[in-house]
Amino acid sequence: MKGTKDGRKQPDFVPFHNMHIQLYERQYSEVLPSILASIAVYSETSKNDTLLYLSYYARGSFYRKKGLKDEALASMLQAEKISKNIKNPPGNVGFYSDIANLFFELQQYEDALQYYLDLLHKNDFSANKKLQGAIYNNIARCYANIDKHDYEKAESYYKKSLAFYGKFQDSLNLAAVHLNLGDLYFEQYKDRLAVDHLKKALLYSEVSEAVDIKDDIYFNLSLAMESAGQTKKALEFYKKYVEQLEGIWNRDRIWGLAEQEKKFIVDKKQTEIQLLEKEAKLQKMQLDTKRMQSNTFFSIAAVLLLLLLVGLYSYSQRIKKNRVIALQNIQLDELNATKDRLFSIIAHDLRTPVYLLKESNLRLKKALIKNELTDLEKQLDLNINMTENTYSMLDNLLYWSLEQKNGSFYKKEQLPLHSIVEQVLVNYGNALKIKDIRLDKNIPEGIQVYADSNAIKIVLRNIIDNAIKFTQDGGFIKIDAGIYENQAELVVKDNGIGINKAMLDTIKSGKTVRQKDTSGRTSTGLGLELCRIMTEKNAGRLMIESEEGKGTSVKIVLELVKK
Amino acid sequence: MEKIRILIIEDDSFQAASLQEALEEKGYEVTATASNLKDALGYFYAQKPDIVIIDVYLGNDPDGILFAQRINENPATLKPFVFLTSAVDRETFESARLTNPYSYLIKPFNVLELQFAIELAIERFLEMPGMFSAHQTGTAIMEAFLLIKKKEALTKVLFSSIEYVRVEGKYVSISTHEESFLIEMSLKLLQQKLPEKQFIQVHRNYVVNMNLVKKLHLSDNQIELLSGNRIPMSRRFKEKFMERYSILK
Repeated sequence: MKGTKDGRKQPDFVPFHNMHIQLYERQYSEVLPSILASIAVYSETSKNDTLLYLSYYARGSFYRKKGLKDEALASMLQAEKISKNIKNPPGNVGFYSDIANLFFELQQYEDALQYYLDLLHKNDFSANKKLQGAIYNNIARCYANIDKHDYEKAESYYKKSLAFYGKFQDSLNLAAVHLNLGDLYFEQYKDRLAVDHLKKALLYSEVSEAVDIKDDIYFNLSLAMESAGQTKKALEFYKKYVEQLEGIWNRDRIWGLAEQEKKFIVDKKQTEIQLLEKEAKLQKMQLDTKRMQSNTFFSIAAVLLLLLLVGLYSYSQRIKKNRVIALQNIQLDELNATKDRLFSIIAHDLRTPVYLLKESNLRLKKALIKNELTDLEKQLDLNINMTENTYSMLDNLLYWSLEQKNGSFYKKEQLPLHSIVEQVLVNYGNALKIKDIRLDKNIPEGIQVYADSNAIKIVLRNIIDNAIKFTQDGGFIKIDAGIYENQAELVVKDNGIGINKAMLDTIKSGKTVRQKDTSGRTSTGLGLELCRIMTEKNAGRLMIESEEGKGTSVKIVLELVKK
Repeated sequence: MEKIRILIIEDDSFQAASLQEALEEKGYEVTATASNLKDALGYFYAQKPDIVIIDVYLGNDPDGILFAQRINENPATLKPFVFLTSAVDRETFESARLTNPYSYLIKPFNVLELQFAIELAIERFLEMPGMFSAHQTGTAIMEAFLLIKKKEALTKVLFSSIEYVRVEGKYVSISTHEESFLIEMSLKLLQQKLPEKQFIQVHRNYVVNMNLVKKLHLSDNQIELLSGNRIPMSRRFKEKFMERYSILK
């Protein structure tokens, strides 16, 4: 109870409480440590006189109960000293009577007398109404026992006591006081008075069945009778005394039996307790078993959970593996498609022009032998054109297969767009001448793009190639370039056959298309696919616009060199 | 007028021949064609070409790269070079990580591509990116000559062949016995590069090659050159010129 809300220091009640409980429950074996703890606490750390007083009082009572009278008295006197600091010490009357009784028992009659007289003066018998009689009796005994025997005062207090007990018809105490008074008279050699009172004591003891003092009464009576010369009566009383003693012994024996019975009961209780303990042990064992069972259950649950997790993990791994396999399948499918496409290109697109070239060469040779030189140059031009077309197709095939394999190499660098376009166009002089296609170009000098030159050339080659292929004889191709929104734009526009809407949509969706050119040959579709790949690799964009019958316009947007 | 001298390192004789043809068509001089590393190094150090065109693969080995690395070791004799490679070999070649300036040509190539690659190699070598490749004209000042791009061809103009230089607005005109070139450069900058004792300024707008002077016409303030051309001489520069003339006399 330390440190309550308002922070004021409160006395620690715990030791006192423990002590009080133990005293109340008569746990005498454990009470002393509690008492000593109380004393220690209330004299030092948590100073509280009332509790300290009560603690010393308790110690005194405890010692007294244990028969350590000197110690008991010392403790009581200590308590008394402390009680001086307290306004209304609790249990004060009982306390003082205890001190007085202790003095009396220690035969310090004068001190005892002092305390008894004090108690009498206090005149407070609310706690014990019969105390007054006992005090009178004890004062009388003190007077009788002090060094200067004051028999008169003793007699008068005995009589006060008798009068007091008389009011309550307390025969037991009346017997005792009469016995005492009888003894007092006997001491003073007033044998007749002594016998009178002893007889009264006997009478009251008969009524009250005060067995304990009866033997004393008989013995004293026998002594008194003997002194009075009434030997016969003295002998009679002595016999009674012996009988009484035997009765007491019997009673003691009965007591012994009772003790034995008590002991038996105690043993029985002990057995019961042991039984209970065993039961408790059993219960504990059962509890342990249960706990073990629950532990086992928990372990099994954990193992199951672990199994579940492992299962889930392996399941997810399998799914992942399946996904990888699925991905590999897709890749394999793609590779297969690539292979099929390569075969088809080799079988059709490549075989035909080479065959035509072979035939043409044979015809050229015949013409040369026959010296038919007319049309020779035209035929050669056609052959050169066919070779160039085939070569560019092979080129596309090469780059396309490189892309399929592991991606080709790119290195972006500063490129003058004008020069790059010129470098590409120079290869198409023959093709343009054959189809009589007019080429307009307007590429300002100074546009520097940031791209891989080979990739850009491949894109340009294919776009110009297509423009020538899909433009009728006598048509035109226009190449424009400029800078828009900080990007370079190159537009290749023709007035060729154009692309129908369905095909254009297919192209825009990223699929490959094959279209017949003006000569009736079908393109491989590789070119446009390459263009898309290459522009993307150069962070560029490719945009196609077309109208069937009117022409096509291809726009390439490229990064500029950062300045 | 001198031709730019080129060493070809190419093991395929047919390709070497067509390359030589293309180069000569463009006005270059092919000093030699080497087909192996040893010959290549021998020609390089003996002939001191202006440019080297190197095939990456000589036989089955990328000895072309080895050659480039060898000539890179000596910066004093280093010359610009162009690599010839195929699309398939390009990655191998690029990953060789040549730190020095170069350019490359992917076979097959046309004359414009060849010209472009040569221009690129030179301008990168001179650390003047875009000087030739980005424009239709361009000039670079070398040790004993000017490299001038005119009509999409590179010409080597030896200092000794320059008769006189004339300022024309923000351009200067360089006149040789055969031809004159208009280049975008300040006279002051050009003078710094030309040999000081040989080229003397005689007029606000004229610098004359002293080695090609035939006669001085002091009365009408003119200089007659060996070619017969007459150059005006201003009074301010006349005094300076006379100082030298007296020494020469």
